[in-house]
Amino acid sequence: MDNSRVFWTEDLSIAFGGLLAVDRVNLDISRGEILGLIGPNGSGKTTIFNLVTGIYTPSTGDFFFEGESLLGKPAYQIARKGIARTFQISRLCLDLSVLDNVFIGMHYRQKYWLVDAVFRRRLLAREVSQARDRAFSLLGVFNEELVDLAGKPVGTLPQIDRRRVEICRAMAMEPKLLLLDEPSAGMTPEEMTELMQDIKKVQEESEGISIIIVEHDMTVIRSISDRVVALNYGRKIAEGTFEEVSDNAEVREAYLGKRGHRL
Amino acid sequence: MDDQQRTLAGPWGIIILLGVELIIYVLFLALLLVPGGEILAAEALLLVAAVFYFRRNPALGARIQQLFAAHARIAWIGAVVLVLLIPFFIASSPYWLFTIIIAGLFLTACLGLNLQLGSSGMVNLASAAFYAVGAYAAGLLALGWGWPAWITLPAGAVMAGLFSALLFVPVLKTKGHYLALVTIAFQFMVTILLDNMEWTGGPQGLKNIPLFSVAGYSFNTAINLGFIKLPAYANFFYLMVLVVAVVGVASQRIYSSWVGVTLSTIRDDEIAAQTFGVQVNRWKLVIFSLGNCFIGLAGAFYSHLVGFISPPNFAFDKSLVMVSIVILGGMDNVFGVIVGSLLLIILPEKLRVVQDYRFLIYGLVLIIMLIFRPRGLVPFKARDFLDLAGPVRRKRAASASSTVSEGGA
Repeated sequence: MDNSRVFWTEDLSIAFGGLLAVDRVNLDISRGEILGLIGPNGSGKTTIFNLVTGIYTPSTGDFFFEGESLLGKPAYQIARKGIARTFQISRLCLDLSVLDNVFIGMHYRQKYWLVDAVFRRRLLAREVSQARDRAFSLLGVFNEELVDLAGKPVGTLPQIDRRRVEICRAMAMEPKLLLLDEPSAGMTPEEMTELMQDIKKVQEESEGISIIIVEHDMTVIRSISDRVVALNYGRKIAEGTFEEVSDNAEVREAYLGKRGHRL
Repeated sequence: MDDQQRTLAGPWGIIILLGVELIIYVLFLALLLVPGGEILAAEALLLVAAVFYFRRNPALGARIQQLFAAHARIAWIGAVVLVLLIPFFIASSPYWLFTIIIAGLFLTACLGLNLQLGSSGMVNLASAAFYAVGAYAAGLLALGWGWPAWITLPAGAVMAGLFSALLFVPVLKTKGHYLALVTIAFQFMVTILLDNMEWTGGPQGLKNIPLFSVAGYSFNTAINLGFIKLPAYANFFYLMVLVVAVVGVASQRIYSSWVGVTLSTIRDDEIAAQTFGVQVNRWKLVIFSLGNCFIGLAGAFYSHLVGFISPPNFAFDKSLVMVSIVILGGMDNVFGVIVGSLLLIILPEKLRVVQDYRFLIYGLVLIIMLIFRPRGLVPFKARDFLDLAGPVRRKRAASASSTVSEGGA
C-alpha cells in the first residue's frame, strides 16, 4: 500500500500572523484513490490546496509527489509535475470560449512559442486540430452538448456547465493528482448527483488518477470517496472510511456542536 | 434563409461585399476631401442612423459578417487595393496624406500597446516614452554614425525593447493602478531627461535627421506617374502601410494562437494561469518588451518622416492618446485598434473647422462612445479556433448549424 502512494504531506503547516491555518497535517493518497476532505468552514481545506499547488509556501513541513519534495517550487512547476486543481470560486476566464479555457490546461505540453505563433501557422493549425479533438472528447465525457457550445464564451454558460469546463480544463493537463475544491457549490441536488457521476466517469476513463475532493455535502462525500479525512481548526481530527469518520465524536462535535445527532 | 445564403456565396455576394467596402471608403475619403464641417456632421448623423438600423435588424449585420467570412480572401484583396489607392485620391492634399501616415504610426505603436494592455492586462502609460526611445535612437544613429534608415528603423525598435528592462521589476511586482503610476513616473523621467541631456539636443531636440532613402532613392521626391503626380508623402505612406501590415499580421497571429490564449488567461486570472503551468513572469516580460519594440519602431519611423524631433513630441498626452486608442477601439482586438487610431487621430484634425470647440467636441465624442460602447468600438471577441482548423469545422457546422458563426481570424 505504502509503495503506491502518489502524494503525501509531512507535518504541513502554515501560519497567517498568529493564526495556524493548517497545523501539522499529514495526508497521503494512493494511485487511483478518491480522498474526501471534510471539515467546517475555515478548517483549512482550501488552504491545504493552496499550499500543495504552490500558491502559498508552507511555514513548516513538506509535501511529496511521486517521491519528490515539491516544497518551495513555483506554482507552474508543480502544475507541470502533474497536479491539477479546480477552484472553490470558479476561476475560468469568462470572456474566453469554452475551448480556450480547456486549451490552457494543455499549455505546458505545447512546444510552441511566440516566433512559431507568427511564422509557423501550419504547425499551429495541426496542433489546434489535435488539441481541439482532445478537448471535444474531454467535454464529451461530461456532456455532448458542451461540445456544441465549445465556441461560446464561458460566461454565457450555466453554473453546472462552468464547473464541468473547469474540471475539463484540469483534466486537459492529464494530471496524476486532481484537487477538486467544492465542485458542487451552488448547485441543485440533481445537478450535484449528475456532476458526481461525471467525476466518476472521468476517473474511470483516466485510470490511475488520484482525486482529493473537498466537499460540504455529505451525501456527495459518502457516495464518491474511498477514504475521508476530517479537519478542524487546521488539524486533522479523523481519518478512515466515511462511516468511521462520521461516527467519530470529535467530527460530530465540530460540525454540530456537543450533542449532535447522526450525520 | 438557405436561399439567401446560396446567393451570398456566389458572385452577388462578392459584389455586395465590395460595394460595402467601397461605401466605407468613399465616406472616409469624402470626410478628408470635402472642406468644412458639414460633411462631418452629415456622416456622424449617417453613422448614428446606421447604428440604430443595425440594432433593429441584427440579422442584417450578421449576414454582412457572414459575407465577409465567406469571401475573406476577396475582402482582403479589395481592402488592400483600396488602401493602396488612397494617395491617388488625395494627391491634391498632402496634409491629409501626412495625417494618415501619422495615424498609421499611432496604429503601429498602439498594436504594441494592445499586446501589453489589451492582451495581457499590463497598463503601460509610458508608451510615448518608448516612442521617444525609438525616435531618438534612430535619430542619433543616423546623425552620429550615418546609419541608413533601413537599419535605424529596426534599431529603434530594438532599443525600445531593451529599455523595457528598466521597468521589468515594476511590471512583475505591480498590477493595475500601481503599474499605471510607475509607468507614468517613467514617462516623466524620460521627457525630463531628454529635455536636460546635452547629447540628445536638450529642449531643441534633434534637427536635420535624414529622411528615408533606400539605395539612393530619397523618399522626399514626388512620384510622377505621368497621368498623376503623387506628393512625396506617398513614399512614406506606402512604407507605413508595409510596417502596419507586418506589425498587424504579427499581432493578429499572436492573438489567434496558443500565445493569445496564454496571454488572455494571464490577463483574466494570473493565479489560474500559474496553476495550469503558465510561466506568468516570463510571458509578461516577453510581451512587455515586444510591445515596446512595436512602439519604438513607430518612433523611429516618425524620426525619419519629419526629420526633427524634440521632447514635446513625446509628452504624456501622447501616451494618453495611445491608451485611449486601445480602450476606445477595443482591447485585444487588432481591428479595434485600427478603427481607434483612424478615429482618434483623424477626427481632431477634421474638427479644426470648429476651432475653439475642437477639444470640447472631441471629449464629448469620447464620453458618448464610452457610454454606449464601454468595451470599445470593436470589443474583444472570443477566439474561434474552430475557424483556424478549417476542415473539421465545416463538417461540424454542417451537422449542427447552430454552432459558432462569427469568424475569428
